[in-house]
Amino acid sequence: MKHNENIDVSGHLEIYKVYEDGVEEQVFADHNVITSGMGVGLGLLYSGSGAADITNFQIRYFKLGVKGNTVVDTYGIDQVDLVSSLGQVEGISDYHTEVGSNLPIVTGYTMNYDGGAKSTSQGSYNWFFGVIPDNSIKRVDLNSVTYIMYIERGSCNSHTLNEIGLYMKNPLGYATTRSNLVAYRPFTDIAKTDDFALVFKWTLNF
Amino acid sequence: MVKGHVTICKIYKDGTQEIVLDEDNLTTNGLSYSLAEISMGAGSEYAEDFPPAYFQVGTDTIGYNTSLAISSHFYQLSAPFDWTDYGDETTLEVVKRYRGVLASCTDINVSPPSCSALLLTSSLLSSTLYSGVDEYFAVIPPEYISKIFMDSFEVEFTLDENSGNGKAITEVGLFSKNPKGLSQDSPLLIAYRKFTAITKTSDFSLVIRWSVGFLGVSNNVDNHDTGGYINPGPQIPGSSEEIS
Repeated sequence: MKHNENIDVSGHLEIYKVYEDGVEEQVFADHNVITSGMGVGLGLLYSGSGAADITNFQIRYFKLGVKGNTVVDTYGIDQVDLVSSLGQVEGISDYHTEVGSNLPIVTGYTMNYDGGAKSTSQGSYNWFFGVIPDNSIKRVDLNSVTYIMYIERGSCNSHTLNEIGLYMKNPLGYATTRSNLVAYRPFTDIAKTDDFALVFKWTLNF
Repeated sequence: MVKGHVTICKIYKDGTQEIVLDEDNLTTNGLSYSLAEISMGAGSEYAEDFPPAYFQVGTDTIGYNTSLAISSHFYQLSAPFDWTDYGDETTLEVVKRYRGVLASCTDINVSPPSCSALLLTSSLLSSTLYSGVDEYFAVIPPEYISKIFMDSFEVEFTLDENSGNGKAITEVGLFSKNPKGLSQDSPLLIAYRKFTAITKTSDFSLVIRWSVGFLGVSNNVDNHDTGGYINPGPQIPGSSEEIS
């Protein structure tokens, strides 16, 4: 709920397993945390010191990770990235685990708290991001937007997923995208297999 | 979470300064609406249309109730200055612009559609449209906007000794330039503050300093001073990244 004198940006995440026969099972539903990266994007936009193209301020990327369980009791607004994102060691095959997997993935930098680029566990600066397509972004209310991320049956298998983050595309407007975390949520372990797809339904209220 | 803070300072001709207001403001629904519009790819496609570019001062107040969820759902000052109210000798650039407002339509099948501006109320998305009304605004030059912290912005403007004299000023509003991306600027209210009347005279200027953003909520970002401009931090070795 919006309240009195401040804009209380908030969010709610739902996760569903979708089996091949069409059966859906909700496995998670809870609020999330809006991180300081949202403020970084807002500050850059309204001070006129960031990217020139407004699409760079849109939330278009996400990451999945496997160590959210380590921060369940401590995560908060200061989170600048996932604890352990997919792709840092095995690259894109962490996401495309089966032949024919079509999950859209891009590479780019991740913004650190000071605007710099954050390095991976391997010392690289290249991170893998899932792409949120146009048709997966829905306006549900005057000030509410829902993002739907579909992880198909052939993607991210053999990983125990337990964290997800939404990223603003490239608010600094660099030639190589430098994306900042704007919303984060660890969740209960999901051992991903090719028996089911995962649907993340994330609603942000501005 | 997204907060605003406003400071109003009287500065007398002899240099004496007197702070007359130093409190939080109301961040209005125009800011929330703009963020949702950006997320949807609606509105302006140019980032330069979003920073604050105009302000108004007025002589009445909006009677919002801060205990209600719709307390920020208004897009206007209660009694904004007209052109003549700023004064003949003002150094401000005063312009007429089409102030943006969200309106609720009850019947779109008549011409013109039957709509009313939203004032301390909300509306279903499907029955809300963007409309406007001509009013007078004072221009905020881009160089008056600064950035001290990573997650906020600051803006400062002055009602000089020759402006608004004789008026009992009770409200001030900060307007985004043209977030809807119309062919001519359509300012949208993003922050508002009402206060005890300040009767403006030629004895002093009023300097209004505004900060909006994630103020004081993050230990890491808030402790990183950008020095007033954007500091992208340590560069990648061998990289020659530039803002495009």
